[in-house]
Amino acid sequence: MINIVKLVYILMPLSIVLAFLYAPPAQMLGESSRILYFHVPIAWASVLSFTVSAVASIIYLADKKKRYPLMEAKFHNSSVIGMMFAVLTTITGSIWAKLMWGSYWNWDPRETSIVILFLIYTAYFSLRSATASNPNRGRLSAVYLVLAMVTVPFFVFVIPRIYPSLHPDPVINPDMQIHLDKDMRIVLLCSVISFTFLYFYLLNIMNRLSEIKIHYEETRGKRQ
Amino acid sequence: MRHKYLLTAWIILAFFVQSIIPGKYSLKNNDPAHYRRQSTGQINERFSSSLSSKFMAPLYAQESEKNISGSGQIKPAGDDGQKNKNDITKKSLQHVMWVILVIWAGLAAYLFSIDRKISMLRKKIDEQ
Repeated sequence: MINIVKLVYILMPLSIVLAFLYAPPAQMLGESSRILYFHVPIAWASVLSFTVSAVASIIYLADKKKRYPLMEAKFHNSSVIGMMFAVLTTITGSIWAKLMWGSYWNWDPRETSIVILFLIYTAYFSLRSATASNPNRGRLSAVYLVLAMVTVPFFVFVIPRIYPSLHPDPVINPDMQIHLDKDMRIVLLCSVISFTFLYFYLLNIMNRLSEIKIHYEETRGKRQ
Repeated sequence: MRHKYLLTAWIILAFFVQSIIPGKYSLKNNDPAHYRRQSTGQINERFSSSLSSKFMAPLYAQESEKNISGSGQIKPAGDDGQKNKNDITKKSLQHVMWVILVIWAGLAAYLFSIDRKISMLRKKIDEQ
């Protein structure tokens, strides 16, 4: 699995080159439309990581016999990466908004919903810090992440569709179709795969690091 | 700890490269009118005009200087003008692409070194 994920070293530069040299500029949007090949895949990676963290939380809660001792570290790491991708999505979105709508922040339904999502996940990190010495920290965090994940589809997919928004919908729309040119679709797909691989690669590195940290703490505890 | 300094140096280098590229994306050029909120149609129109004037202006100037100094005549706008415009857009895109590739190369090197170190640590733990 990890060897496939390492393809990110090849796929990511390929996606960058394709986004700038192969993909045609979009009508009306011009060359700025190329940000699509980074903004959409990063947003996808963010939603994916929040979903993975929720699934890992459910496994952690269901695992009474403690068969997966690293599950707590896994769901936490996934939510950390998800938060990082969410920040990057907001930054790339703001740059695009500045070019298209004239200002970095417009309180568009899409932007407002991401702010609320930010607050929800920031509260998770606060909860985790506040319960550092609590033996039920893992369970509390897991329950909170499952509840937080329930809100994600509403803020990402539902609310921006209910309220009128300036945000374009060629990728996420009620038609359930990608309204993009064939060449643009190929580049977008390549970019989505690259960022998905990047997410799994980062998660793998962080999980291995957590494993070493847990091992180190256990050996230090035994020595003392 | 040394990697943190290396990463910071890499980001500073990337910003430096970005700032020396002339045109719209340069950190030196700030147009106050750009910050005004406008309707989508106006924004698109402004965006197209800004692409053809501000963003391209320094590069157009270089091209026209070449034309004057090279043949002694300024070439009329038309198919050649359109071709020049496309060439200049491609050049600018290539600049941005190289900046992003440099940033990615830095990040990839950093990730690769972390990956290797974790593998070595893991081996040591397994041996113990």
